[in-house]
Amino acid sequence: MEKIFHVILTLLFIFSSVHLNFAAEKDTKFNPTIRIGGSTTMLPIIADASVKFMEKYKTWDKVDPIFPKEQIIIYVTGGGSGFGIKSVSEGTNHIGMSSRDIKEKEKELLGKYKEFLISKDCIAFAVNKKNPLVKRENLTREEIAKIYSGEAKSFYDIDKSLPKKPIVVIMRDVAGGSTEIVQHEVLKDRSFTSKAIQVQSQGANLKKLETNIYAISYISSVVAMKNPSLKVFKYEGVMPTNENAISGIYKLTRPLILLTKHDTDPAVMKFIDYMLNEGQEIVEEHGYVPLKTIGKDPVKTKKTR
Amino acid sequence: MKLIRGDTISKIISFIALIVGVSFLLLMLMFFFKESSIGFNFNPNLKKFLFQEGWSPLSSPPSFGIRHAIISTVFVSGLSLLLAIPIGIGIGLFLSEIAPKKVQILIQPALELLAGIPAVVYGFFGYAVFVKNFEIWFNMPTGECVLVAGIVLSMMVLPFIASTSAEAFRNVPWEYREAAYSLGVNRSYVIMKILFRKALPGLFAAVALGIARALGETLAVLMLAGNSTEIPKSLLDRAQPITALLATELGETSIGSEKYHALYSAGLLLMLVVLIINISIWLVKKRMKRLTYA
Repeated sequence: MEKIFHVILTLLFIFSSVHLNFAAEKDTKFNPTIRIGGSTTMLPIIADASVKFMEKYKTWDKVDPIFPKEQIIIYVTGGGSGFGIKSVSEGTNHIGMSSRDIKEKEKELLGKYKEFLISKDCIAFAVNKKNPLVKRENLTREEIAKIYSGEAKSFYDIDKSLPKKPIVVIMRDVAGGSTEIVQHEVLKDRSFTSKAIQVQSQGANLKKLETNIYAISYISSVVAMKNPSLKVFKYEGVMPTNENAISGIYKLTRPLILLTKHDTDPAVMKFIDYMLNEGQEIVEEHGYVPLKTIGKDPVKTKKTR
Repeated sequence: MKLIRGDTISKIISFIALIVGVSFLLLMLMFFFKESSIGFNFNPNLKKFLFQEGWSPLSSPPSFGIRHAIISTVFVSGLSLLLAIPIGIGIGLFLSEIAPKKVQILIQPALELLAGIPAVVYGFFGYAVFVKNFEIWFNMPTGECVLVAGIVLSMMVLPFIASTSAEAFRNVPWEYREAAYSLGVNRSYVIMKILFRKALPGLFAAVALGIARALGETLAVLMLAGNSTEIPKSLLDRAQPITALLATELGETSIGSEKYHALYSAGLLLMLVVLIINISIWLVKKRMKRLTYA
């Protein structure tokens, strides 16, 4: 019996000391880990940038001497823009990635936060190169709205010279920022057809376009143009290039945003600074528009309630 | 004296473990109930939510009916069980009664292995094999459909049903067989008239396990059913079962929104259905045990 008492006492002791440790850590201890999550469009850029950041500095004291000598650890995960914003408001991630503007309701949940525009992205409509639609160079808003609302069921309904093969309509799930842009800019009052296949990430979207010759989808124009098996359409006569996005002729663009709580760790801010300066080269390497060409002050501090 | 005290302590510890385990279930149910629109945020249009409206969160005004998901779940899980239950019980019977020892030794681990394969592997297998070939065989523009999801899901459910039903057949006391054979009846008589009746409670457990697994499986059906919000009318239509709906939408949903409550309601519905099926099968099983062993 005594033995058991001893065991229990020791266990209690261990638990209580662990508990005390935690309480002490909260105030003073430096957090060497940054967790980033959200938009799958931004994932490759930020993952690449975080690897380069970690390789360049290795420990935090090299980023800034005021930090302790601890190894830099950055975790980057996907989940979609909605998840990125939600995770920041819930505190699961330090930085959220969002490839759309933040909604009013989300602003309420976030409270005081900061958002940083790191680049812009065009959404392009693309098909496989074997798709009947490749004869066309341009798609009008009306044609795309017809396809996505389900009014045009086969390629024949779009163009009488095309075969009567059904169109396989692919859409991103609503968590992907691009879906809302297509809804507001292209479909307007109409809703997405219930026949549309919802894919959950940019990767799944790409794979579906690569493997299905009757599929049409909207995808980041950089990703689509880099892929040799895909054809990208002009939308309303305008090619979805970075130049057209900056000059504003191409309408289907979205911001690529990093967001944090307003009182986030200084170490987290160091990474964001990196993304706004040196990191812009990585943005450009990935084919996106670097900040200097957008010519906007990227830092916006927002306060709601 | 010492021994008895040790016994009470282990009793207390296991009791605490039990409480913790069971309270997880209760807490989860309570949480879902609280967050769903059926619970504290009562939605007056429950009937509309369950049976009438479609799911289109982006249209204005948005609508959050889960009719398509309920029908899809019934289609996909029903089809998979229709395939898996007869085959699974057949395998169980073969394993316990007919197969020679050597075959048993080979099949039993194979079943366990099959049960241990992650859902994503099944999903990928279905995507690479069935989806591609369905496009060719049925001249479909794209191969994801209820049938593909049902077939793959039945493969996932099969090992559970097979091993549980084999167990049920094995648990029938050996004396029954001996008595029957000594009366001169043949094997098919023993199986049909004695084993099936005696093993029935165990077979119900096997089916319950299969149903729970089929209803709850997410990843494979998400990959294979097509994930469209239309209502499936045939086996070659696309569908979005409740689990797939939750997996698709929950990541984006802002807390407290109408959609959030709708999704939690869908989750609650799924949990309640599994609970009800399990309880009713448990009740039937109990009744049968009383009848068969009386």
